Amino acid sequence: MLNVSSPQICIGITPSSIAITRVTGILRKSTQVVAEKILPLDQRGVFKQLCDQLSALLKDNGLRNASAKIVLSDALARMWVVDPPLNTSSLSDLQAAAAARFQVLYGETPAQWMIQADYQADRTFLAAAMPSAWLEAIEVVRRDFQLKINEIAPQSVVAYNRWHHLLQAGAWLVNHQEGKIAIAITGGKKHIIAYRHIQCRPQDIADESSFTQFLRQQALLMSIPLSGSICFPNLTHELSWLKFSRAGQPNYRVLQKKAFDHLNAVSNGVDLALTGA
Amino acid sequence: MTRLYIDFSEPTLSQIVHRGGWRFAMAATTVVLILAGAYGAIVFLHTKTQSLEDQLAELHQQAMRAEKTQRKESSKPPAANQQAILAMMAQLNLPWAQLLRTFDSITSKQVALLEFMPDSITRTIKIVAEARNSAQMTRYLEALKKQENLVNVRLVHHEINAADKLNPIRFEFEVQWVTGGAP
Repeated sequence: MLNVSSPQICIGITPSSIAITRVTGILRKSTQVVAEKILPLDQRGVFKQLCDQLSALLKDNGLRNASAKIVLSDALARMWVVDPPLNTSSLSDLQAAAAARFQVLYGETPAQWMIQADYQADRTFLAAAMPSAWLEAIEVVRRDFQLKINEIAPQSVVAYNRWHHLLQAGAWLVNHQEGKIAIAITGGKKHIIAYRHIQCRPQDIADESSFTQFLRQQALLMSIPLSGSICFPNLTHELSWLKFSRAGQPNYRVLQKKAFDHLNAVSNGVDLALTGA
Repeated sequence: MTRLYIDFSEPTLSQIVHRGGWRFAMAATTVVLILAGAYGAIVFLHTKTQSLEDQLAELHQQAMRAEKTQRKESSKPPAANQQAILAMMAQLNLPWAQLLRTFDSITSKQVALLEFMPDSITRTIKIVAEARNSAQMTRYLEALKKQENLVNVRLVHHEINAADKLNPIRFEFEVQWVTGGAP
């Protein structure tokens, strides 16, 4: 049940860092960064190490019995869009279509993966997959600290769910995480019709014009026009120039809450944690 | 546009509450109100049914009591009715044949019976008759006294009927009959 007395936290996990933010207040919520841990280079990308660090952070900050939301970097999940088969007659058909698409895109069977999707029979839908072993590692942490986990999802999904009411039809929702750009492209009815998670060089995101050029290239590769509305969930260090961006073509917009303004530009882990806060 | 239902966590009630927020609160309130309403309606209907059943049982008992009383009353007719019935029965049980035979045997052409009023309770017959003269009247009364089933022959009144040109004697007498003989 809803436990008002238990702390509400949001955990952001990237391949190289973990951040925990805490939400306080009921009517006027405020968010503070509780802890952040950057992993040594040799431990990066190892999910077991990430979970161990998470346990340490929870222990150090006395966060037992917390109500938690876990936001994963898109790099820790696989996401793709699926066109439902024309002869779909049941949910299992859509599940099979998502699994088949996973196999085609990534060249392996989804046996070791947990696939979750926003199954739709009449339009393109987004699917995501996480290694089952990672979910088991999170379950161990949950059990150890008696966490009440409300959500585990990639940042693009959390950001879309949080901000979709502010997105215009055809807008792009863009996340930058550790050298990779995730682009969720919405269609005429504002649902996601395409998703790209691509490597970018530091110079691609160095300033507004370079970034615009980078996005224009991606639009050309996808054979679609560049959207006039590019939205970012939060303001990260790497994209700090967004603070000075003026309305233009395209129009860049940071969706983060005013309440986070005092945090200014944030690290990648905190960026994730704030997305879910 | 709706949210994406992509979540790797185990679905729990806490999760539903967290995601639903005010929607969950409203849904929960609605459910509670509906349940409370349904419970109230059930209790009301139960009470109403119970009350109606009680009323029905009361009415049934009343009907049973009324029926019992009526049965009792109908089986025992009121005293006045009883008297009337007895009187009627006695009147019907008069030994008409025997009396008529007796009177026929002694009545001659000189005496005419005008009224014949039997009283079954006192076993008395009040008779009004006319005779040609007083001798005929006396002879008739004497003849009556000789009858075995007739006693206490008593002349009550006699007068000359002046309205008749033959001036007969109209007389009224009483006689009691005794039972025992064959009708």
